[in-house]
Amino acid sequence: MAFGYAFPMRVTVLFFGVLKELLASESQTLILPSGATVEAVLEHYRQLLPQQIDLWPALAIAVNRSYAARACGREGDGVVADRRAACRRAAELHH
Amino acid sequence: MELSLIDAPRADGRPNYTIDAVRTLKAGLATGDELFCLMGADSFLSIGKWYRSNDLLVACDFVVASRPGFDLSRVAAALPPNISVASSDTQEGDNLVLSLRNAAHRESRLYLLPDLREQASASGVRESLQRGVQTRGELDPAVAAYIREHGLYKETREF
Repeated sequence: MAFGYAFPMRVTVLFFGVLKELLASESQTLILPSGATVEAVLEHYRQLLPQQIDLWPALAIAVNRSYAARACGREGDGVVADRRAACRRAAELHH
Repeated sequence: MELSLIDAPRADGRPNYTIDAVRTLKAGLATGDELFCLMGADSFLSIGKWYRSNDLLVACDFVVASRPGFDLSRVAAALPPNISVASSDTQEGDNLVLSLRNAAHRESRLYLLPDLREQASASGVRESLQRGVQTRGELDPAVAAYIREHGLYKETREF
């Protein structure tokens, strides 16, 4: 488990389904503090889409193609979000 | 039923929007074929923010399902300003049907399926799989076997 927030890490976030429509993008790169959690990624997008409160409860997340709870990631990780559980590639946030 | 990758990410990096997938699908249909876009009500609530939603909403018919207690008036309220409800609500069985029209007078139909009493939820199934709990028949046996064989939906990473 990583502790502290000394070293920033680069995380590629891939979007599917509704999030792709709302964010007008297939992916984005975020710079996050080391040890940042997937929840931190979600919070970033919650703030970008503050009116979409219905989207988040059922969001499925994968980190490097593995299903993830709201845990955390590492430098170079990809995170994917999409509404559909049947996902498609690399690390993902699924809604 | 067959798997389609029609809305898979594009090679050029441009987002593959739903309107693109719908138009590609329509191009392959025969005369008289009908195309429906199915989604949950919570997803439909954001439709006004989708790429070219004014075109999308009249590009095909929509079927929107909601769970018991969902306020269907929220669906109509979610329509973008340039989409109007062209005709009075009609009832087909338990379903409410709205005729949608855009500024160019193109129309589509929106079928609202209220009170979908399906207890299964994707989130619940994923949580069961993550905890190693047997799902209660929500999954086709072949799908369940694939998930089990590939160890999907388990926490495979230590953080």
